[in-house]
Amino acid sequence: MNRGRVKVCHICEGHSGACRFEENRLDVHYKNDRLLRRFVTERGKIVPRRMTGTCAKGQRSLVRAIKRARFLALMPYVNDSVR
Amino acid sequence: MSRDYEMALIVDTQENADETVKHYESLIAEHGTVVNVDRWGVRRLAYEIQKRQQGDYTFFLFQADPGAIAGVDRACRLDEAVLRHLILQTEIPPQEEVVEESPESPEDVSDGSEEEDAE
Repeated sequence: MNRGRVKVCHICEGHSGACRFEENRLDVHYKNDRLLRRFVTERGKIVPRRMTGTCAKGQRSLVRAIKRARFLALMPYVNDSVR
Repeated sequence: MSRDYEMALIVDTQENADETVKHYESLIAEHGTVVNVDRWGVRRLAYEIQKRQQGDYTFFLFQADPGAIAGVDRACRLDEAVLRHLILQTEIPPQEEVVEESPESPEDVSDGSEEEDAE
């Protein structure tokens, strides 16, 4: 359907189809909050896949890491300090 | 049959963090082997935990038999110095075996998927 646009997955830099390479490009880990912050809105909400263009598998690992980072107070649940 | 685990520990800055970390390191060592202790030290929390704005972060990477995990978890829960803890199962990338006596010929070290990047 979207012939022109091929979705490139940020997590593994592959086409969203067969994109789960062995060593993924980005180190998606709950400790790596610098990376995780790029997938969260200013308010601290997780950005939906359709906006970031990540593949399903990448998004799942991303969400798991973000939720763990939030639990460990490395990332806020809600960022109300932002006006 | 021991499995690989990682534990995140946030210690209250008003308590003696070094002591607490050593305590848990030895507690884990009783039931398994501690592979790596990654001490981040004091860091600002993203939100308040028990009226504290800061916490002393430590990350353990260890192998233990599954039975022992409940004990460690209980200890953390009861310990007032520990603001928060998280124990997860993980895979420790194969590293060179550190042998005290005669160092074996180190096999080729395959780089694990998650290398330790200094935060």
